[in-house]
Amino acid sequence: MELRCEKVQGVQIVHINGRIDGATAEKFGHDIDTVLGSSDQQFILDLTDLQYINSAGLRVLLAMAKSVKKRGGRCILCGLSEVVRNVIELAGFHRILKIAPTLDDALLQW
Amino acid sequence: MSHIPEPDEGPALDAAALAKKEKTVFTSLVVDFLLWIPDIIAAILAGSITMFADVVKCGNELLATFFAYLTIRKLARGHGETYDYGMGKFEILTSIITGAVMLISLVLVFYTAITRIIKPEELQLSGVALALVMMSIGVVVNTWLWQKNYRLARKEYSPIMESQWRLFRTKAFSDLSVLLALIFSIVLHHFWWSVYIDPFASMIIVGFLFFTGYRVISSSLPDLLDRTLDESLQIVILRELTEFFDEYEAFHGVRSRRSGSNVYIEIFLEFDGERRMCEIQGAIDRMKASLESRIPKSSVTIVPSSGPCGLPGNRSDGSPPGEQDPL
Repeated sequence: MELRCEKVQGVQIVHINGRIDGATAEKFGHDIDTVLGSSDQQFILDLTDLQYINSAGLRVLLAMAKSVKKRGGRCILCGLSEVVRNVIELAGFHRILKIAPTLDDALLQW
Repeated sequence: MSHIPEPDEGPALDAAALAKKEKTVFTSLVVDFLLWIPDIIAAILAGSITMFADVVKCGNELLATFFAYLTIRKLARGHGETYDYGMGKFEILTSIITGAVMLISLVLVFYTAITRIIKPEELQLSGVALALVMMSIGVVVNTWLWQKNYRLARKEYSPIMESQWRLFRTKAFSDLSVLLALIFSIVLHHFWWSVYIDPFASMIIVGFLFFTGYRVISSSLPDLLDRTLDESLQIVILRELTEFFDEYEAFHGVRSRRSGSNVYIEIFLEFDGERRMCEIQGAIDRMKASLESRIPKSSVTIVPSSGPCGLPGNRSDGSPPGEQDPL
């Protein structure tokens, strides 16, 4: 699991690739903490290259969603593969986080 | 829509289910014992190594069934004051003993079979007739008990009922193997190699014992070691947390385990300090009732906290994202 940040049109984009499972969820949590701590809690989470996420990864996303909401931030998920989208929707995350089909769509919605 | 059980509904159902389990396992125990005695006689008379191995295996299985009966009896009599968290671990432990007994039988059967292959002997036809009758009865009765226990295990998950139906399936197939081995040994006795049918057939029993013993132990051991719930249930928990997203301020982790057929879940949540205690308690009650209605036999504890309380495998500190490591 790798996490990479960049700014596109003034918006912070966080690209995640690889797999988030029991072995990588803790690292994912720390990386997300670093991103949240360094930003104004306004960013797009690009999951285009994310192959898999399990409940351990979703717990990190839940804590992240709470933090963003608490501080009046903003976060959009985009580029979900079918596998990732199924898990995210099954766990009800589409109710608490905005989801865009692609990064371009997310930037348009921003 | 969630279903909240009536205060006395759960225990009444539990008592009835336990009584039924106790009766089923007791029936198994009695039938096993009654079939075991003539099995011993038939094995001695026939001089069949497969029959002998089957007798040893049945003796071990009888012991395992007796353990299972004792556990269920303890559960049915109630030990609430001594075991606050129920007797789930004892139940799992019994399953592991059942599996271990199967593996011990495996070694014994394998050893006797190898011995007979090295020193082959003809079967005693006078005893084989009784053995054929006993094995035929064994196939029918064990198939019936296998199906009966299987239906109970599907109705309500329990490590004991799981190990019981697998045990009877093994017994039904191993009895069938013995029956076929005896038939072939008799029908083909004029061939010189027919003396090897009996010991080689016992290797089939070795295979059954290995597969079932391994399966029982590998499915029970993780629960004894408090392995977290599987992914499908973790997703159910997360779904509830997203459904009640506005009721809490921060999420600090989940801890879960199985104990027998019971499921224990602890959720660590931070609540708004400005809210009144009765409002927070109301939110906790709603979340608990909703999640318990979705996961059968679950006991959910919502722990108000400002950190993860040292949860293993979760975030190393308790603070929400963004409040942790400096950049």
